[in-house]
Amino acid sequence: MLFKIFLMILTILPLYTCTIAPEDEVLYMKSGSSYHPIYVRGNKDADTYIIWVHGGPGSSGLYYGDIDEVAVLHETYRVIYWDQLSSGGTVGNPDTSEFTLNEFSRHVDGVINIIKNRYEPKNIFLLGHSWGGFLSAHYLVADGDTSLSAQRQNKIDGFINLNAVFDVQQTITNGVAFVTDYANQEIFSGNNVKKWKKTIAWYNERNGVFRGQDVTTHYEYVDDAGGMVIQKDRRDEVVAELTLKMVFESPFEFYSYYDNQKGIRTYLQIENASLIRDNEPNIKAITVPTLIMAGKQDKIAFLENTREWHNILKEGKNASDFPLIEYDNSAHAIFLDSKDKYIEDIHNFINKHK
Amino acid sequence: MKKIFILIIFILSINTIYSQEDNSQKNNVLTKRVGIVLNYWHELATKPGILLGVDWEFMNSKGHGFAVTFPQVLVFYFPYNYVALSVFPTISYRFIDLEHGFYTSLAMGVGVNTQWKTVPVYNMEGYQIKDSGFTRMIATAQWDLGYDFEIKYKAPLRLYFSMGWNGVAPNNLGINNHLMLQLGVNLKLSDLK
Repeated sequence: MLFKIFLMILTILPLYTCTIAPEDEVLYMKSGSSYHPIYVRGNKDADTYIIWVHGGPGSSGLYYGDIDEVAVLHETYRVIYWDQLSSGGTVGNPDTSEFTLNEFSRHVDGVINIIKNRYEPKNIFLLGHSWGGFLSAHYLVADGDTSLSAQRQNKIDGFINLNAVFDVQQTITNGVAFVTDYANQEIFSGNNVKKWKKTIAWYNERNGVFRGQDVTTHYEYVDDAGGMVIQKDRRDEVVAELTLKMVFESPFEFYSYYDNQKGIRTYLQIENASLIRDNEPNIKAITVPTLIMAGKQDKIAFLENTREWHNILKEGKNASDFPLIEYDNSAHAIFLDSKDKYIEDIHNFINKHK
Repeated sequence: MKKIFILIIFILSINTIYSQEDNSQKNNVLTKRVGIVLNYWHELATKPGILLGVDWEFMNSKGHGFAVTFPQVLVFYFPYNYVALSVFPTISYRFIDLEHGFYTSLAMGVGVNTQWKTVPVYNMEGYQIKDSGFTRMIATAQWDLGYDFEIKYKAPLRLYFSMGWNGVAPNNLGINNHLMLQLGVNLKLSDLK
């Protein structure tokens, strides 16, 4: 009897495996020796495709579409989620020389090429979140190659930059200052003195250079100081909901996610990366309509920085094609903190420019 | 899938030819047991696989012994995504409580892991390409706990639970580490005749 039960378990459990929605599909893009998963989701009949470029570096595109507040986009659009090099479910063994912004930009181009060839969509919008916004902008600027930049911008109808980052150095410097100020206030008030002293010591040891898991630790400190997400309860709910979905209903792989994260955060050195310096390729080269979305409490992409960057971006252009929308009571995850308004703003922007 | 099927047939054939058991335990000397192992393999927080192998065990009359499990194949089939096939021998130290049947084992293995996509693969120019998959190295380490039904009930099987680690490398300039659990059965082939 026991043996029969055991055999039944052996038979049934493997059947309880990965499934995805019938309208969704998984593709792969091969770059060098790496395979990047591309997860195509949402409305199959939509004429507008959104290519979602995930944050991090080292996050994954594969889970965003399972967040209810993001999945709302699936009703109207076909949304393409993909994983960058050494991120999420990307497998392979790239050379360290592939961990450059130009190479990552080529991957963005690859995804757009695949989507254009396979689906022939009427409209394509690039949507970057945080680091994904920086990478998308870098792709469009094309490292100062004006011809390539024009060619790339012709491939899309618009660019949506969610929690925009255009200067990594400023972002890190201000983030460290924010956390250390907060830590000093907490120490002065006698709250969690040991923890916050340790935090300050951690930042002093790194001197503004984060490698590997340091990036995660920095984000955790920003979160502890209240600069990452305002709706923390909802964020915790999302994490719990996603865990089961990622196991059984997604191509997402936990182990790749964490192991890849260490890799990309070690080998992709971007602490000095900037797209706003006058004497270097910068966002002035972006002519395709661009929506900038900023959280007023965002302490990764600070509002005051975003306003400066937005001024550089829109200089000499039709301002109505380059709107900056600021969200009250929102931090670095606008899609959680201002869930209805951000969707409405995306709809409005796409409807205007498609 | 055809290759996997052929491999399974091969494993079963080998066992039919070589499976044997002697009763030398009764004479207080080394016993040899050949079995086939079938495991449900679950990497925590990810998708499950099936492991199939042939187990060659040598044990002294006090219940201490070692085993080589070879050939051994681990198959992961992720619908709408890819198939992964690992072939790796494991060597184990084992102990069975010959009075009650409790069984424990420490095992290590090294082999190859091949993965190929079952969905379209494209190059960066946007054209679909034929993908032949890619091969990496896999290493495993695990601890088994179980019960040998032969000791008391003369049933030719052993059931066990395993926990351990496996790593696939190279992957993105590092190792792709997995924690895994297994539920397994080891059937003695001589009793399958």
